[in-house]
Amino acid sequence: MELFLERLISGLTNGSIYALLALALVVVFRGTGTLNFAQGELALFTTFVAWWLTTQSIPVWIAIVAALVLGFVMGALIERTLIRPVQRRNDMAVLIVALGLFTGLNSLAGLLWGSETKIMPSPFPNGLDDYVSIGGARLYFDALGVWGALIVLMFLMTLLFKKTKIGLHMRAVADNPESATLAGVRTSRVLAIGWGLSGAIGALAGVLVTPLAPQQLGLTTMFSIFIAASAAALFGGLDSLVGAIVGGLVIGVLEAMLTGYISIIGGSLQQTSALIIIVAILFVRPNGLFGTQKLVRV
Amino acid sequence: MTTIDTPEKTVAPRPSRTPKPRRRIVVEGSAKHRGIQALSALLVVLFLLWAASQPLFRVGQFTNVFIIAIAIVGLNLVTGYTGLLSIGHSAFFGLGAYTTGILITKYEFAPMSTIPVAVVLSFVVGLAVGLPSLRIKGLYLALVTLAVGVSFPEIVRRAEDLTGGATGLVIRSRFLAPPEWTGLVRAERGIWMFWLSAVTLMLVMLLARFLVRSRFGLAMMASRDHEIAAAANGVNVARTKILAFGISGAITGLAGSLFAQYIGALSPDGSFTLLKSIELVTGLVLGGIATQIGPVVGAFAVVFLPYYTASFTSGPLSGVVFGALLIAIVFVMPEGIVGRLTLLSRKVVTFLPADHPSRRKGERPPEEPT
Amino acid sequence: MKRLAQMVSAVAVSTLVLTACGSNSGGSDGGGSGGGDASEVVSADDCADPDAATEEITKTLKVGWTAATSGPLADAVGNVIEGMEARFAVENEAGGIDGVQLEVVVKDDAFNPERAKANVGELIQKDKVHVIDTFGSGQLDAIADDQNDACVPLLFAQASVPAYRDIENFPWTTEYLPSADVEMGVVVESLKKKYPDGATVAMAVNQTESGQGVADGFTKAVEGTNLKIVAEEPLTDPKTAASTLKASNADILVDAGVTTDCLALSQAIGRVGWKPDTVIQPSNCADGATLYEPAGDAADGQQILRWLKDPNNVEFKDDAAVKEYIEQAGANGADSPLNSYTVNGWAIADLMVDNFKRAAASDDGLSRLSIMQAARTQDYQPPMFIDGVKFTMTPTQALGILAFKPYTWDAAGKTFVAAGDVIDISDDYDK
Repeated sequence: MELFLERLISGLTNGSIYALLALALVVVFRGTGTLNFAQGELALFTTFVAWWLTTQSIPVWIAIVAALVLGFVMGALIERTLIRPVQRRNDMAVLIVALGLFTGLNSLAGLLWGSETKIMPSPFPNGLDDYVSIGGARLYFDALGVWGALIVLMFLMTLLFKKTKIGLHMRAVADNPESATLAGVRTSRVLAIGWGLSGAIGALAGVLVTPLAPQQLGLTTMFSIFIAASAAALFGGLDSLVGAIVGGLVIGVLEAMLTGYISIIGGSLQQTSALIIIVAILFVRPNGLFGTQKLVRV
Repeated sequence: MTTIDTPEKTVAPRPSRTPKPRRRIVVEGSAKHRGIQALSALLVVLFLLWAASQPLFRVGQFTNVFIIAIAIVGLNLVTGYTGLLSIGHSAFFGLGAYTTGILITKYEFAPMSTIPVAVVLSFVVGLAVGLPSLRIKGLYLALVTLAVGVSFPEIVRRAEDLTGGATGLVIRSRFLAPPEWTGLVRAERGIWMFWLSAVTLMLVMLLARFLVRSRFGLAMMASRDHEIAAAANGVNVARTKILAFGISGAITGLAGSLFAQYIGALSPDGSFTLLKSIELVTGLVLGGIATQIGPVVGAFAVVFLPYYTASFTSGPLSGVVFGALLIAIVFVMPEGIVGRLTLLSRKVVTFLPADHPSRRKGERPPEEPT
Repeated sequence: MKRLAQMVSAVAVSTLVLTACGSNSGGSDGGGSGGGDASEVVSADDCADPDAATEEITKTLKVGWTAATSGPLADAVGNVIEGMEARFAVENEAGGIDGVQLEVVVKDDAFNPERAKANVGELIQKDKVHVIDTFGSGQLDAIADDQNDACVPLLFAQASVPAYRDIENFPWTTEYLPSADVEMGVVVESLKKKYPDGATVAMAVNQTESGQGVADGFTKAVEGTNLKIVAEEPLTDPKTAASTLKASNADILVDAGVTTDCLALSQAIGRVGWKPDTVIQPSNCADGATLYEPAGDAADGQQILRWLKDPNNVEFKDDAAVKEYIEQAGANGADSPLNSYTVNGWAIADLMVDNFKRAAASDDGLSRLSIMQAARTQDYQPPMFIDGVKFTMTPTQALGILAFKPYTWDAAGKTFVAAGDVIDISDDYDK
């Protein structure tokens, strides 16, 4: 039981991180119809900035807020200057721009701060004794903090989309950009805000995950998390916020349980086995668990 | 990105300020057309002869380009012409490479005789990967290919007895000597691989050209452009997609087999991760998606761009420059290099099939495609 | 892979016998350490261009690197190269190798074997380097054949692949990093002393070449002892590995991991509340400040083997070699002389300079062949190696480092403390 709870906690914690980054992907997809390949590296870059601020003896919480703001600005700027001009011409080109950003941002972080592993301080107490015991398993406060962050973010997003004008506009643009424009929504501003929002969410995921990640903060930290997060977003349904969260949590728990309990899979087929299960589920629900089916006119 | 459009379709018409330059019309099959074809063939041969006379390391780089180009030709069939984005082609590349590597080192096959096995195996796996396309579409299908790409290195690591696991599989150069009939000795392996890859690339490009122009090619493009309309017009969309995946996988697997013979050292984390898939997709889009020459141009770009950015800059800066270059190229040429050049060249020369309606009536060629 | 290795060595033995019959009737008379005749194992006869291999090197001797100077390993690689360049600068200032100046040429391979292969071709054919070096086993696999065919020495590769310790097949290749078999042999030696009545072992294994090498080395070394491996888990997710291994409740935890695993595993076992009696970390986890300190108490008492003097450690505060190193490396462009990779680069350059000097003093003068022959008969302690640890190569043995000094991490003092004398197992090998 203790072992099971340990695995469940570890899975839910990883899953919360996947869910956060998946949320960022979904917000972009709803606006632009694109999977942002550079989302993970954008989060990596902002996390490096947060780390750098903490080394300048700035408190970690302020550093995190700064990273979120930077994430928002960078996201919006990227949409404005790099994505929009190409997207009008060719969808496939957006993919290459994102790949260029992927390589460029990663190398830029390496250029500015070096490739050596950095230790990002956790905003939550994370000493060896900072835990509560649940049935013998240890739930550390920084893991609890990640769960809390996900819940708060879910609440804020619901508020944004359901109660605010800009949220309404974002939903309108996601539904049908042309009608939204005709109805007087300033589509271009909404798109930039959407990308900014996802940049900020990604930044949050980055600063929360690195103190927990096995590799700490290094140039490779975000890649595997990004792969899991994009799988989570697709699994949940690319246009569904709830889907991203459920998808992230399911993948996190699946990974932990499969690795722990099925010795043939062991640690060596972790990603494979989780992805195979997801593909099998997609067979039953081709648009993900919560995704909506697009009507096609002939 | 849920659909992949042909470059031509999405190019916005530009207002022309100057009067249109006169365009020459060349009819396919005419003497002039034959002449142009012969001239291009001559240029290709001259280029290859020049390339083969370069220092050996340069010849090796060209070999690498040809092999990547073959892999991209394979990817182009499924992603370019059939419109199914694949980020799992690193797995086919790896499957071909490991098939050749295992057959040579464990079963003492001659290198050349491993190629058909690698191709058939990759074809079968390609069909299997294509199966989900029956139900899963768009980016969701890309997730299926992502799963394939992620799994391959994990499976190689797991199947240690066969593949050498994480340690890798090394084919020593004495097993890779050129066949006797070539009269080449072991030390001339580099030149042998150069010609083998060059000839294979040309054959594969001819095959792709033939396929695209066949009924099956029409079916591929029809399912890409409008799946429902294609089905309504009698295209067996399911069969087309699955078969496209199979052929595409086979060609990329062929590239992998050549790659194993070229590099001689395989490791799951070296050349067969998702990063290879990304390299192939980058090459395809840079070169020009759904074009015949695009894969070759794209392969040159993905092999030589990082090489030159690394030689002009040092360390991480080269990565920043490479990223910026990628974005810059897309800004200047969103249809890819070949796509852009084709559009430009149409202002000067237009190629028309002999049975084109405008020919029969003796009219002016059609306006700029919109 | 094993079968391939057997096949390779079978072929190797037969070719050795043939060449021995054909060219050399003398037989080996100096199998002992340092002696022996390197011309028996390295010659220019099989080279594509034998004259180039024996041509005397004048003016400049070029050492060409293919390594990842961009990407996640850029800092480590950069430090190794800076350490080497600093050491060469010192040598050049003192007049070089009999007047021959040393130069380093670097090409980035971004840890991609294809680019490593192309780089080495270019280094040999265009830059005309005389010696090659590289970082990583995948690179080494991709270039060893080409470099052996061209008869350009690849000295002190930063890798530890058993295949390249095969002198007959790869006469022109040597590796710097200690063999995992040797290291684990020393580990098991010390464990046997600590647990005379036997103990249970849990092993966390990284799914890469070096992780597997350590695990295989340990498994081989415990054969026939009363140490028993009771659990083995892959290190894909350190948290999962820690939970699962904790259930085995073993006395000893062996981290068969790469550099990035050490801290993660320490933190993970700390968090699941497991405190094994002994934790063994691999020798590549040498940096205290980044790999042990952040884990706090969880890393206390962990054991590691070292062969280099650690300039950060008070133990070497008054060591003449360390003082000189810090001063000279800093003065010659090494940004972070205290980094263990910089020390490695410096030590490798020391070993190279020793080879070059002996080659220059040989009858044939300084050439690629004489450098390689010198490298095959080396018995030298670079000043930055811990006293009692030497780098030893003979015509029959290519293991290099065969001795280590054990250390334990002191979490309170934030430093490594020596945990005994140098353990030398060269007697087990050089026979």
